Amino acid sequence: MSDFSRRLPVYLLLDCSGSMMGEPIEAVKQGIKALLSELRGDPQALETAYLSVITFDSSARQVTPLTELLQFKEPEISAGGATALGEALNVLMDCVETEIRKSTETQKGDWRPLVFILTDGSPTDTETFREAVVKVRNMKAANIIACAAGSNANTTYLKQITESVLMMNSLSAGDMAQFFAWVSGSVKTSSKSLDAKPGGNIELPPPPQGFVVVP
Amino acid sequence: MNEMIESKTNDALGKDECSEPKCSETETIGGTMSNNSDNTEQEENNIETPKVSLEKKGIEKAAENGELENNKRLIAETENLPESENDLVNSEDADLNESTENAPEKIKPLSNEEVTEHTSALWKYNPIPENEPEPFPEYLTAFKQYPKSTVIGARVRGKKHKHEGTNCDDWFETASFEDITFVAVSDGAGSKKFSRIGARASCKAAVGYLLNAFEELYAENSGLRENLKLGLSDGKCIEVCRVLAQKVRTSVIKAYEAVETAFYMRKTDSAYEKVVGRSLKINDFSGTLLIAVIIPTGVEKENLVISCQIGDGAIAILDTKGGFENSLKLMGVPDGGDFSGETEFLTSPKTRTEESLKNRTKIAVTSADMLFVMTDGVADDYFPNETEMHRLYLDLLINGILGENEFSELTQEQMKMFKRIPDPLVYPWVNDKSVKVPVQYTKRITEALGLTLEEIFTDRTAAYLAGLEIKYGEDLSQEEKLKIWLDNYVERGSFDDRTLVVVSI
Repeated sequence: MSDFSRRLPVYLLLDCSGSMMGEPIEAVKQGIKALLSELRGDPQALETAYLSVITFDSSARQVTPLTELLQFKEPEISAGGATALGEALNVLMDCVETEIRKSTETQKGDWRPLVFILTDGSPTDTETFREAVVKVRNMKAANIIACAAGSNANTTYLKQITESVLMMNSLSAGDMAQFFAWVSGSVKTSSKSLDAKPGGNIELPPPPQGFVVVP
Repeated sequence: MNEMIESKTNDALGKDECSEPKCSETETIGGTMSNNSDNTEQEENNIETPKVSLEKKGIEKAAENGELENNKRLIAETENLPESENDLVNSEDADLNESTENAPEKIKPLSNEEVTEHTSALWKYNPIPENEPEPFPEYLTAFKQYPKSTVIGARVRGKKHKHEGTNCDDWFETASFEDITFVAVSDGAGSKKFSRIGARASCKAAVGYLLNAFEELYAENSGLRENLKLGLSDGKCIEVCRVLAQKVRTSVIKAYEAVETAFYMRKTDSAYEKVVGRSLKINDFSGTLLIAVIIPTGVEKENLVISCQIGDGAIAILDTKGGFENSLKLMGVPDGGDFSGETEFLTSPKTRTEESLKNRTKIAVTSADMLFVMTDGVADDYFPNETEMHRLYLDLLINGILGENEFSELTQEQMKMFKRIPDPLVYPWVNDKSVKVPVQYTKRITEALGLTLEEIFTDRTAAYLAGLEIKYGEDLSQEEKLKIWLDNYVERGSFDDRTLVVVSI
């Protein structure tokens, strides 16, 4: 008998480059707080969802490993540097590889991870990015949703990572709050629609008003 | 002949068995643990079980502590249930601040129990919506005393559906023809709005068809019973099995046709369209289907079991009287494992091909005395089914649903063991948080006593002892107890509808 229950892993890949300095990064922090408080009120999310944060600036690192919602502590994040989105994807793949439990004969595997990428620019490590994208696409191990924030965000790069790309108009606190509210809605929906088998695609709620789905 | 017809109308339709949601339920639970706010009294009532042994335990503990600690503990437990999420979150945060400064990855993970204790206060109860067509009853229960079997069954609306105020999607039907028992169970697809209608239609049609088909078959062919006695090494017996198995496969097709009919009958009805916001599709009625037929072979205590399973859930036969080894046989393989993202449903054309149905039909001659048919709401909590179905049986045993406790007086040794058995977990009932329902879990007992599943299954002393603390009320029927247990046992991440049919053969 396995004591593990099946988890819904949620990865947040957050852009902490120099351009996020000031109001945007504060809005991200607020967003994570709001996200947590929202999910902690939802018993289905509490019993299934696990959260991890990966940040990227001139390099990338996992600042919070995949953690139970009740034990999750908001990471210290600050903005500065370049946009190593390629490296962030590599970190993501490492984490998925080491943290996600696969189904075995005696253990129920985790649900397919949900990955939210938030960036306001384009990758500066283009070589790494190109290679990482190929690997991410081949892996098909996660449902990835990328969100381009503000007018400098380049959706062409994001489209290479995933079909699901959203665009929000500004980096304002209001837009950022909406983004995180939508993330929490998506996590809730996903933890509810888990009768889709592991590996199955998950239907997400419609994006907030003012957000555009990039075709 | 009259008898048969009677059994058909009563059993196959089985509607009279559906207990109406509210009234009977409150009565049921209220009868055992009165629905008032005086918890102390409730807990005391629960603990009174059975006088002899508990007095002993009480006396021994009282000697140690000067009072009946057991009562205190249960009350304390209910008082400690988190009042709001903040309580726990804050206390966790406080912990984290101390322990995580240097090594954040070394947080001691919460146990599943700690998490479910926290979420138990957050699950809401919302009734089934009244503005949707064909609301289904909150609960279904059945007790059938058939000529050669006893069936108890219950189906409860999952916490997810209660939280969201949506219908339960499971259904089950049972029936008998002479000494033969039929069971059909279906789990409507969670993502489909009218899957419950498909689930009910398929169960009724499958069981209805099997009744007719077996009646005709036995009327035409009087040699059937004799040939069945010959055993699987005999060609004539195999031929009988082949014919019977074909009927089981056809019942799946009939079940599908009934789902199709249900779909066409509602297709043009705007009340249904309104709910889904578009025109109906047959997939809106998708569900799994699990069929089991139990046929006595004529040899003492021997049965032929034929099953067919489409989609997830489980059909298992268990010999509770023999040893552990080879006592369990799964009669179906749930779909979905190999092809990730694909769940098989009755409405998927590829499940209904002759070849697919042949692969899904299992035949066994067995001297086992118990058969379980369940939806994945239960089966998933006993994963992997190949090794965990014994635990399901034991959970039914220790929670007083199956079997009688065999003790009138405890020996010294049993007393010692009894004291090491953890108290039942007490969670508030989702429907009414003031009602606290104690549930005992085999896995907690095996952990506390250092027993393997095989050990506690082989020598059931520990299981019987654990059962002494659980009592849902003496006057409650088995199926009511089954319903209460299904409605109240807590597993992390398990909030689906739960259906379990137990056939004692």
